[in-house]
Amino acid sequence: MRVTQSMLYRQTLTSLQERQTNVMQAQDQISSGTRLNQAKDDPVAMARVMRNDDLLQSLQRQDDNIQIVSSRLQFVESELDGVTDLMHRGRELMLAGANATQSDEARAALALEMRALGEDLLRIANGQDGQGRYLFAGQDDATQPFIDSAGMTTYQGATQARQIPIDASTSMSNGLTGDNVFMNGPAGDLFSMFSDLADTLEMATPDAATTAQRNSDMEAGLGQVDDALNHVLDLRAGLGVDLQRLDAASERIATLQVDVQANSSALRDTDVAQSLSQLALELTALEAAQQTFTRIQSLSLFNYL
Amino acid sequence: MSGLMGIGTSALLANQRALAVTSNNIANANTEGYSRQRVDFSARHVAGQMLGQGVDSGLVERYSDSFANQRLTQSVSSHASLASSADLAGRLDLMMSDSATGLTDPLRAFVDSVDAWAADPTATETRVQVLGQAESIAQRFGQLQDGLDQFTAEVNTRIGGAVDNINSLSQGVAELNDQIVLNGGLGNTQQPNGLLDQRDQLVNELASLIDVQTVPQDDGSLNVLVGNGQGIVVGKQASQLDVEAGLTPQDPVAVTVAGSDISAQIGGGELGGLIAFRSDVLEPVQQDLSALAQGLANTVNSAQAAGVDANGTTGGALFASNPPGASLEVLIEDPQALASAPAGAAAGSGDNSNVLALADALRGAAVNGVSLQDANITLVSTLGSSARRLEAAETAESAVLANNLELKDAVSGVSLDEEAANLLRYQQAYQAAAQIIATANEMFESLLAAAR
Repeated sequence: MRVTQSMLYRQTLTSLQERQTNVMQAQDQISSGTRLNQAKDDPVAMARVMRNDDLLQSLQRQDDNIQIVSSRLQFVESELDGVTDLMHRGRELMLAGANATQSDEARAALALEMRALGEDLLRIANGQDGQGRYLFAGQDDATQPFIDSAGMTTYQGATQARQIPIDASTSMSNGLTGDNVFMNGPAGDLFSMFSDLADTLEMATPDAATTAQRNSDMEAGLGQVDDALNHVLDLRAGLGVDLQRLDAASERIATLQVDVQANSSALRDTDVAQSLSQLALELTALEAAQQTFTRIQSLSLFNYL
Repeated sequence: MSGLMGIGTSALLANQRALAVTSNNIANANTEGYSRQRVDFSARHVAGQMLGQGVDSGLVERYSDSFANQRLTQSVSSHASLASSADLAGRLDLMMSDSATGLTDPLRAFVDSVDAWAADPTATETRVQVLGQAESIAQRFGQLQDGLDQFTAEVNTRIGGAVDNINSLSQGVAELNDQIVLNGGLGNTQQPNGLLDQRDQLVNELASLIDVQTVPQDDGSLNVLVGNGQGIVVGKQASQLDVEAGLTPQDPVAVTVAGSDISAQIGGGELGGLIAFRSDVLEPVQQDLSALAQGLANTVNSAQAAGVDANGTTGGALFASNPPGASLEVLIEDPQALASAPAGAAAGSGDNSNVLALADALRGAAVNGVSLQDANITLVSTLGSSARRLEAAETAESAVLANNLELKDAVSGVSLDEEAANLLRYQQAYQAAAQIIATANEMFESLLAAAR
């Protein structure tokens, strides 16, 4: 083939430009840290990275939800601890009242404390979390769940707890509903239980018949307190299981996040060592192309005429 | 002796002419489109005579291979087409896949704000977040629609510019045709080499704008056809291409010849690339983006309609879509107007089941059977694949173009080494011819001396 001047120039120019483009690309990948600046760089990798990013956002949200739910459940748990303490104290008061040597005055004092326990229970039942939301109102957590009017406590909250997603297919309740805890257990309405127990302690016993009546009421009351205590302990155990599930879910998310991030990083991030050696290679090639050009250009028959 | 003189003179003239042509080749070594030339020498004979009578310098011939030229013209067309469509597709891809301009981030943030709202449905702050993200995504859809409109406008402007250039180039080819025919055409007489080079050059410039077929005529003129064989140059007559605008600046323009739309038949050159980009890349992206906007609006609006807001009334539409465009408008300003509770729930209900249903619907089949986020991923990766394919095709086609340029150069290009050798060769021949004349002169002198 005849080799002409323009051929030489064009070929050199093309290869110089090609090399310079490659140098720029390698430099860009090293300085930006990513080899995926736009989808056309690698459409398949881009799709995977986008899907991973969407997944990471969902995982982050699920993890946030887990923290929210478990923080609320911990509030509920410590409130239930308080309820347990009240029950234990109520039981002690009943045992003290059942002692035949107690005077009426002493029983009246016990009854007074028993009523105070009932008021404490109402305060706990209307307890709030750190955000000022009621713990035992179910999903209507802005409504005060228990209202006391004329000695009767009624439940105003929702009968459903709020469901919060903790992974793609599972939701968990973010608390217990007050009606289940305080109204509908095996011991029935716990607020009236305390006032009934106080009534029993205060019962006047002028004769043997009323004394016998009181003794049997005391027995029944003690059984009720035990039922209520067991009910609350059962609920606490349930909460413990839920908190463990949340911990397990959170750990699973942490592992997933690491895996997904590693996958994205492999797809998106520049392999610096590889890019650096690529850059060195391209620079050498560029220099070679420049030197070749000057060598070829200096060769001309006209130099010898 | 007069024979010797004649031979010497013919050799002087012939080699002088060859030196002139060689010098001209050297002078035009870097002239775009120049084809090297040579002088045709032939031995001079007189019928019935044994001895030759010197040399005739005939026509100045131009080295040109019409096959190589045609191949070059074709690859100029294909390359220009791919170069313009690959560039546009790459830029569109950047717009859709860059996190600062694409849909991905606002869409993800909107879905996440709905998730956050589900965890705390009555709080004003989570509702405000949802509205804020709704505004962001509506704004992003608007920006993307503006971006797509700008691409359409750019394609329209460039089509207009290309058509103007085509018209002036085809006028130029027609005028050259006229001059070439007047200057002897392609007959056996001296050809108008410069004009032929110029015409080849113009045809290649035409080919970089639109794919052309060339049909050489017997009289030396060249007919140029586009589309389905519509002649834009026939002999010395050029026809105009026209651009037919749409109703608005955003509507695509059509390319017409004598009133008939040939847009679909243009397959090469910048015009072909622009039209291919418009129909194969830009329009599908527009459709997909509009489908995404409508899918988002429908999903959110039907969830709103299925629930009640904080006041216990049925939720109103959050988004108004604007098909066939992709822009969205946010219709709700009051955060309490977002419907978190299911139908029938009381005012202020803390029931989040309607938000959970919305969160599920956003991840469910919302656009053509896939979720919104998956539809966006498909859009971005499909566009990325198109851009990558066009870029690869352009790289391949530039290699073909370089090859064809070399093929043409191998025939027509000037090699300075070759010309240097020729310069030497013709110079020596010229000196030798001068020697013939000197010899003839000496012989004549000898004869005169003998007769004295």
